[in-house]
Amino acid sequence: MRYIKNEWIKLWSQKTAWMLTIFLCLLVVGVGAVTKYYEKPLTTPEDRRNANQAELDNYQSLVNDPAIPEEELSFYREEILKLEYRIANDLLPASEMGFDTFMDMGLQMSLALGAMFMIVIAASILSKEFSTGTIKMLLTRPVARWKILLSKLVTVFIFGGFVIFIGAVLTAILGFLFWGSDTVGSLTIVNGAVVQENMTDSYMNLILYSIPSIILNTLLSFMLGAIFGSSTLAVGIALLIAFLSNTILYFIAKYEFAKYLWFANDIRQFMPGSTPVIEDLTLGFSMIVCIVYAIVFVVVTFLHFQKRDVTA
Amino acid sequence: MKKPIVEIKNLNKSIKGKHIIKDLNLSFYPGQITGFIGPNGAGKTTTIRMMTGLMYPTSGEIIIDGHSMKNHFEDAIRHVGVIVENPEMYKYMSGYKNLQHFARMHEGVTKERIDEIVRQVGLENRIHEKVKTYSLGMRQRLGLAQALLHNPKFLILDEPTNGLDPAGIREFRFYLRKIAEEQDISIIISSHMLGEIEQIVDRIAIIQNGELIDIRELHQETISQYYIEVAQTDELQAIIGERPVKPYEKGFIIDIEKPEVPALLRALHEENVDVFSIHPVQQRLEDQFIEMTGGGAIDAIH
Ligand SMILES: Nc1ncnc2c1ncn2[C@@H]1O[C@H](COP(=O)(O)OP(=O)(O)O)[C@@H](O)[C@H]1O
Ligand SMILES: [Mg+2]
Repeated sequence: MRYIKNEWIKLWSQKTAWMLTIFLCLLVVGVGAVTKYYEKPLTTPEDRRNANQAELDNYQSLVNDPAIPEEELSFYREEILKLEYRIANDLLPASEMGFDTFMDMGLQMSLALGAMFMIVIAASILSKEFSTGTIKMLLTRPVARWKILLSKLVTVFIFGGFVIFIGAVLTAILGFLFWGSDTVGSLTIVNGAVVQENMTDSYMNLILYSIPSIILNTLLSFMLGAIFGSSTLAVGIALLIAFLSNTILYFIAKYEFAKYLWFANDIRQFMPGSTPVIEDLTLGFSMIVCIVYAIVFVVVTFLHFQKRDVTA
Repeated sequence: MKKPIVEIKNLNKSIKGKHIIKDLNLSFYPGQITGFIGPNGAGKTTTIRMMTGLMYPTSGEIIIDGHSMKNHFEDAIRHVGVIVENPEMYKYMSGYKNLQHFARMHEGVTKERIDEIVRQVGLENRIHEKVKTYSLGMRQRLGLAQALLHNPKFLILDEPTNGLDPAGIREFRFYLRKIAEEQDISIIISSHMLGEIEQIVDRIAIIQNGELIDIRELHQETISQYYIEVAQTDELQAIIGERPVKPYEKGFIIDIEKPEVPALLRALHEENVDVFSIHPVQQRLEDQFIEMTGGGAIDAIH
């Protein structure tokens, strides 16, 4: 615990952690303010009803158009059902920004940036001690090497959780200030009836399904930082994989081995409403692949660090 | 003799097929200051890295305070304070925060202890400033503070006089002597320059090419040579008779034991020889050291 405190203090005594956190905050505020500034507010129930009604009329005319093929009609009919639900419940049109849609956007931003920041910090938190030579002051204490390594890894996760939490809270505050209780609502049709999704559930889903890839990318970056002793190289490789994983997958998806790669098993593709990149992947299989890779990354990192001679 | 606090037994280290430390055996005792002397590249730092767990021996054993470094690292290192090469502190934090950081890694280092050590190394005026504003001398002091924070029984200093001015070195010597005597600490100071540390150490261990080539205790009182300068050199020759004597500057160096000196002075007085000066000559260790390690070649041995 005291070692985690040490790492936490060192982290916040350096500029990087502050810059990253402030960057995320500015981005959330910026996006919120810009959206709010350019939107034509639909503040009264009449405004909202008229906007929804206009869209409803549009779909009505499409449905009555004999030139529209049959298979598209069912889609339009569902949209009409949803719009009627919006009018009945005084919801904003789906194209507008409301508290809930802003919250969703802010969460996605916080998760994406938080994941990136964790890669950056994970790569540098150990390798920086090597490049500055402070590692020798750290390892000549009555504290086993694995404890020091673990405290650093835990600190990275606390940092990530903290940054994402800050982003989410800031989003909630701004969303409330700008849009109050105006909600767009996310509607689905179940057995011919309109159902409004519970927003808290969908936020929780977003967070839960994102966590595995965040953890894996962090562990990978931490491992590369420990092995190369250079944060630049580790950050570079880890970020590249994090950003280009979909592009890489696009090219290698046809090979059998692709489904055994950790980034092919991003759990986010199993979120309600998404389809996996490689068709025969299942949630269970992907979970197992992720766990195996997590264990491999951690074991390699700890073994390597435990055994190496420190000459810094 | 007291029980040794540190024992190094048959220590070997090879890096990439190069045998860097060769079968080193060495013990360190409480209250004793040992100079670990050897030319650059002799293997001093490598030995120290193994004594502090930064490097692992290829074979051999290091026992500190009864605990094996290999099997009980935390217990073995608990009573060791060390500066390996230059003290590298976290430059973006204050000296005080650095000390707090290291204090958290030891048991029982109180705030009072931190304040005390800050006063002892004379950093109280600047301790709350960031380390990046410190001079080299101040960094050395802070390095000493972090090494002594937890009251170690064994203090390891690797080339500690690097970057200190002569006044700083003198103060440093005095301070180390004091803590060795008062707290019965065993101290090892490595250096490639014997001259800088010969006045403070009780014994020296000389390493060359990874091999320990000599260990000797220094007894400053057994000086057996004196320099003497007189007006009447012929009378002096007559009085000292058969003793070995050689001219040196304006006088002579004679081999004579300390208890015989008063008798010699009385004899000179009776013969009306005018004595300008007489003083003991230390046989300079530095000369011996250079002789042993091969003189001018000391920086180029592999
Ligand atoms: N990491 C390393 N890889 C290869 N050789 C090394 C390494 N560290 C030290 N050496 C070699 O070991 C020898 C001893 O070095 P060192 O212990 O630093 O000497 P000293 O501290 O006495 O000047 C030198 O010849 C040096 O080149
Ligand atoms: Mg050295």
